[in-house]
Amino acid sequence: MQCDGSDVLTVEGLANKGVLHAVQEAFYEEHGLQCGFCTPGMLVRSYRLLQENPNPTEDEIRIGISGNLCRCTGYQNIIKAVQSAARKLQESSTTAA
Amino acid sequence: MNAPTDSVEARELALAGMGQSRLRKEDARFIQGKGNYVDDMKLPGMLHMDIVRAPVAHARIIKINKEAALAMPGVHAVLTADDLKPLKLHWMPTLAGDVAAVLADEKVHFQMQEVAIVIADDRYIAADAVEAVEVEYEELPVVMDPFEALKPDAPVLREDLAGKDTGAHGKREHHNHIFTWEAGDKSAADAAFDAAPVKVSQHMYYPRVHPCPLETCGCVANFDPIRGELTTHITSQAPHVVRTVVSMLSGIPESKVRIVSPDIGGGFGNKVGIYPGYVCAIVASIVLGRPVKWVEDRIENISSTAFARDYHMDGELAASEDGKILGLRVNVVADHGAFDACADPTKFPAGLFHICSGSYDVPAAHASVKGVYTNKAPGGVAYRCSFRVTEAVYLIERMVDVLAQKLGMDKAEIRSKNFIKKEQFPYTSAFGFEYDSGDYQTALDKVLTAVDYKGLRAEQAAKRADPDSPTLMGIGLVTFTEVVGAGPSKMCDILGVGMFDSCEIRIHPTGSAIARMGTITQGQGHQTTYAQIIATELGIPSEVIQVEEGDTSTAPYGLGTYGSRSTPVAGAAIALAARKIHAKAKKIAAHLLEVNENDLDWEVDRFKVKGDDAKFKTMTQIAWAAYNQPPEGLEPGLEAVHYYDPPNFTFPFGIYLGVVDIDRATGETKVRRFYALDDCGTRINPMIIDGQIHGGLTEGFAVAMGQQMPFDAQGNLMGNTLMDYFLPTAVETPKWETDFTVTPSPHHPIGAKGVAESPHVGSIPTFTSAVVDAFSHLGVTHLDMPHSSYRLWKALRDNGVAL
Repeated sequence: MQCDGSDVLTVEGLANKGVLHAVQEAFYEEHGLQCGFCTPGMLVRSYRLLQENPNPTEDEIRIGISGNLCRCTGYQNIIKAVQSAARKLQESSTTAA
Repeated sequence: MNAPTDSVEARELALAGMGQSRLRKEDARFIQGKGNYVDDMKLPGMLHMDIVRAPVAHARIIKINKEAALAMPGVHAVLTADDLKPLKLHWMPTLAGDVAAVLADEKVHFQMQEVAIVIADDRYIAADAVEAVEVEYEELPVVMDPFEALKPDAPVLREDLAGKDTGAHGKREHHNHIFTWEAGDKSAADAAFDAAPVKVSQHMYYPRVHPCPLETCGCVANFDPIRGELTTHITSQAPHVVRTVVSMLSGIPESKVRIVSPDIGGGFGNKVGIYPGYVCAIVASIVLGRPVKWVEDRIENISSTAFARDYHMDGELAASEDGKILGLRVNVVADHGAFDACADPTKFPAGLFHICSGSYDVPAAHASVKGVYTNKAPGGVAYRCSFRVTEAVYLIERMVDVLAQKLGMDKAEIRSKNFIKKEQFPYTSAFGFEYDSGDYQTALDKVLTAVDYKGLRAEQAAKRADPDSPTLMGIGLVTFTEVVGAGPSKMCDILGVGMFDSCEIRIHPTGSAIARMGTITQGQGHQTTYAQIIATELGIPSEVIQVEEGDTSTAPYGLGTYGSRSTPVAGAAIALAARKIHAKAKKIAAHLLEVNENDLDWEVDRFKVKGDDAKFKTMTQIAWAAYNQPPEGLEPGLEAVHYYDPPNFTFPFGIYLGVVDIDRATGETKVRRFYALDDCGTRINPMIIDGQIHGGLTEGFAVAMGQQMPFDAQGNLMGNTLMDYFLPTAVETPKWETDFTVTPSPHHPIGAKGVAESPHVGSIPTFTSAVVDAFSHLGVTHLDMPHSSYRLWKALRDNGVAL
């Protein structure tokens, strides 16, 4: 009901024709996952967070992902992954421009 | 293939073997939503199971009325203990030598206990049907406290054990008593205490908590009535043990039972036990001849699956006036809930609690643990620790702090004074453990220098001298030794099966490989780290080594993953299986190069003829030859299996230091700094180690600072949702600093000891040590966990320092 008429993006929609999105690459490179159970949520949340705030501070990231629980990583590498994804997205937007 | 001119360094990098922080092989599916967890499974004709649970903690079941539920469209069956009785499955053996009800049999023993199951077309109908099952209870007086439980007039909880004055672990002294277990030498300890000039004692409670992984427990049971074969996909940390138990309980031969642990969303000990939900789903599938899925919700997970800890401990240390420990005595009352479902090796009802002499040279020691029944959910399990090692390390580290405080000694100084010295290893403790290796002082020096310990103490002194300081500053220090890697089969068995583990490796003709082990990863990265071991042993890139675990039809028998046993036991099996292949490969290389084996050297990924760099054969070339031109007398193929029975446990250690600032107005604790140095021997993948250390520290932070499972006097569990049970978010979680030393295990083929429960084991007493340290100038020697803001706010007021 709340989503009626909206677009819904899930983790399966992040990659583009087999090319991983920057957040997916970043989580892989920064070891931002272990059991993988929280990962779809973390990825999609990070995607949205970076749309809202393309250059977040560490504290802003912690607050930004506070609605997603993780039991394996202690969040430390997830934060590094989001910071890395932010850099990647900024680089690609500057390149595109 | 590498050209002969590639340097050794380049070829080593190309292998991505041991010691390298290579990225993980398992990530691809998880970052694209293609993980395969139990709840992802959909099978044709699959039905759904839900559970009717008791709202009360202790009651007789007078009547169960299934009619309304059975009448609902889409409901296929409603089963109770009476339906399981003809199959003799209404009770099942636990891993601790007790029995547990599968479905409550005439009596309920804990709130949320399983009373009936409903099988329906979908989980919504099943949930509605659960509400429609009418159960009439006659409530009985509840026992929620183990000390009350042992009083002569306490209510009888286990009527099924009436008249049985001997349990699996010896004599039972009382109807609610389970066992009394002892270790060490009581008369030697008593003599040491009688003679000692200094004695300290401290009571401490290690609260009941729950591992609470993100994925709850569940299974898809699928009995094929045509073939007479049972397949069950299950959230299990020990699939082979499940297969053996299921075969024994069901009568289906093990060869026709297949248990598969797919991707598991965290275990932390929660997924070791065999729960009634699994048994019921399997029975339902057999009875109905269709797949049955059961996945519990969060409330069910916290309320009914195995808890951890709940140890009431009394510790005593005897010492000389200059702080040398002369003796240790410990008495524990262990609250096991309604059934002793502890997942311990059979001979150890209190697990490996007798590691409680810690990193110290304690000449005389005695420990006793008394297990007791109460009206709580059964257990306990090892929540991110080796069996009862969290409790043991907490006990000794708290006692050493208490002793230091009594003598006015610095916490680091008293530890140094009592450390087992490097030269003393292998060291046999007063409890009979043979510690393999350790170098505690080097590690301690490293940490104290890194944090500028002297500077911190000076800062604390200045803050204490300032009556207006808005915070109390505390420094916690823990120097712990764990015992992991269970274990030598002469000492360690689960239901009679020795705690060995296994690995089988097969190299394909074109040089890639597949390997299977008896363990099962739940996020620890085995698909990567195990491949790295093989890569280094056999010179095949880890990238092309497929690692599989968890399918009992293909994986060699193993005892699973918990208690940090995978690298110590399966990791050893991997190395030794690889070395069998290596030995055969050498013969093939000698044959191909037309030299004697003695003329060959191994270098990274190839056998070279001594003195002639141009003459070599890589493992890839040897693999092809193994299938196509094996030498006379050798079978074709290139594979090996090894079952490893470890000669001993391993003893990782760590030095953790935490700095906290407690707000004097609110009781809120800020963890300013946390420095964790771990020594796990050989480090296979530093990135993976660090990631798990972060996770374990975070779980430890949760236990120390907020997790609890309190019960009221009526037996209601107060808070079994994530509104109450503290799982830290990214906001509360501190930033962690990690460090390491490397002291290999001399008895392990690759010198590795196992890691990543250590941060949980070591951090919990560190937080307590820091919080207590903040109050220690006021004479406080101990504060029980959890150190929530509310509890510390009260402590501030009790000690006259609240703002």
